[in-house]
Amino acid sequence: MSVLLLLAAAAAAAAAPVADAPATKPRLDYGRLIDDAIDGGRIVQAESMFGQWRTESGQSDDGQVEIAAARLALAKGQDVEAETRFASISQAGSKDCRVDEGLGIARLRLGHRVEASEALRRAVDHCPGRWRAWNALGVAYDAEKAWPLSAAAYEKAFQLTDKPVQVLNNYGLSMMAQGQAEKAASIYAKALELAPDDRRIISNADAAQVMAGRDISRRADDDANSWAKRLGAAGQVALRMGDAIKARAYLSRAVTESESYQPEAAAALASLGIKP
Amino acid sequence: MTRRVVAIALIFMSAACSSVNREVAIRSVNSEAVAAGQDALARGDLLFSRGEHALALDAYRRAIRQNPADAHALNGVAISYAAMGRHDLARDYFELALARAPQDERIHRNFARSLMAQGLPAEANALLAQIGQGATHSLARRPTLAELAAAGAGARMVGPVQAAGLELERMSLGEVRLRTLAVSATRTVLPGRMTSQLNTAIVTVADARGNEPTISLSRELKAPIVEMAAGPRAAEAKRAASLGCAAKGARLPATGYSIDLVPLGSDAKTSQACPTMAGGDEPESMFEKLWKWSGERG
Repeated sequence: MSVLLLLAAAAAAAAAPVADAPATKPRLDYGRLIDDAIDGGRIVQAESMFGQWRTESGQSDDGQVEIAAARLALAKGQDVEAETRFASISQAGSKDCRVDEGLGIARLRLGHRVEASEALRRAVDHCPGRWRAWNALGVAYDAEKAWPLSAAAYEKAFQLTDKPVQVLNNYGLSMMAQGQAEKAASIYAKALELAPDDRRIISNADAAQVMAGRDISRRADDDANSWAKRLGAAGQVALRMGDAIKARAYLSRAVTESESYQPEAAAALASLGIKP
Repeated sequence: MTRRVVAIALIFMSAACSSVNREVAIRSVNSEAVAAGQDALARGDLLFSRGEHALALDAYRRAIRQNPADAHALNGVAISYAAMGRHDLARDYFELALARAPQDERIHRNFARSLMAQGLPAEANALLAQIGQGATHSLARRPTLAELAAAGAGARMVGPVQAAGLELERMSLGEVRLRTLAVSATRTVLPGRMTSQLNTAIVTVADARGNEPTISLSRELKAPIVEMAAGPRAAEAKRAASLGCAAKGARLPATGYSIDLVPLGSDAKTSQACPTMAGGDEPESMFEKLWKWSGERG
């Protein structure tokens, strides 16, 4: 009798977890969510979701997991890995717009300009609505000094993008590379309206101003050290332009107006024969 | 004989296994951990609503130790950091919370508030656009790059400090105080606000050699001023509109971050009201507005 009772209790205990099992979660579109996170620069989120996706999907997602892995590697700056992954997917015959775009950007970063241009041209031929591909193609044309082509590529990117500051920054650099400092300064003025705190834009805008023969001015948000860094960078630009007088003035101010030691400015001054 | 021995042995074995005088309590081995995690979350919510952000952070961290995938706890750590001004540390936790609850609108809005406070409105709007809120991408034609390049350089580069006010005050026979109010032309630190800098210089005017006056700067004081650019109501309404919630009489909390979350899998589309928390105005309802965990943990 006791044996029978024990067996019955064991059977009931085995059935209980099934009855209490939680409802299944709704299936998420991980591919789209990871794409959005990567495009938004949210790499931590993308990486975390990618881990969840691999755990849940296994091997059944038709290469979408591989594309996400390649894009994630590219977003993390692991360009060699990204290039290898994208090339492998491309050779497998994928026609996904993200593959040629990613392959081109990875190759561009690795300095393989010709191969990068080929991939990026394929990308914009098949998917003309992808601004990142146009933007990267503009950079590739800049490297070849094909200025009219690069201007056209940046224009397409600028009209398509929701992140105009990136395109403006690249176009401004293109203008400076062509020696058109006034135009570059105009472009950076616009970029600063959109992103007034972006250090990269501030630095490039200063360079354009110095190239255009104008002085840079201190912002209300600059503390002594950040202002000194800007002065030092302006001095370096003047030095490269061969304007030793202006370079010395900027670098001296960088050293004297900073609250901490500015090694780059001091070294540049020393190269001019001045002991800071 | 053998059968009898086996029967007796079975009787003794079954008697030893039976529990006539003992009650068998069946409980999950993880129940204490789950309870501790929920306690930590509740404590974190309460401390955060009282404005004790550092203690709230500690409580939320304890909850994460119990369940590293808990979006509520991850969001709690993020908003605690953000409320302390450490947006750099908040960012990773906002992203991890979004990874665990990618459809939760409140995490999106909290993250967007943090981005706005950092002066990153474009990124904040892009985030809000994913939940159908925020400023939508304008369909109007942009000027071309060539038009922008030809627009004239140098008109407005890095916002220079502009003297917006000037005041001289005599301190003594030999000293005057020079006050200048500098206003940044381009930057707004917080939505609806602008930053000014009050510069006060004590200038000593002394007749050193009888006929030649000299001027020297004795000391200089600088203090940032944050002032409302528009009326508080207008700024509130603007901020509320940018964050996709109705402002109707709702007062935003001091920090502007909401701590209540909708569990993954529940209907996350319905909440459009501004999140309010404890902080002075509605003490009687503060516990009702805190989110209580009711979904499965995962």
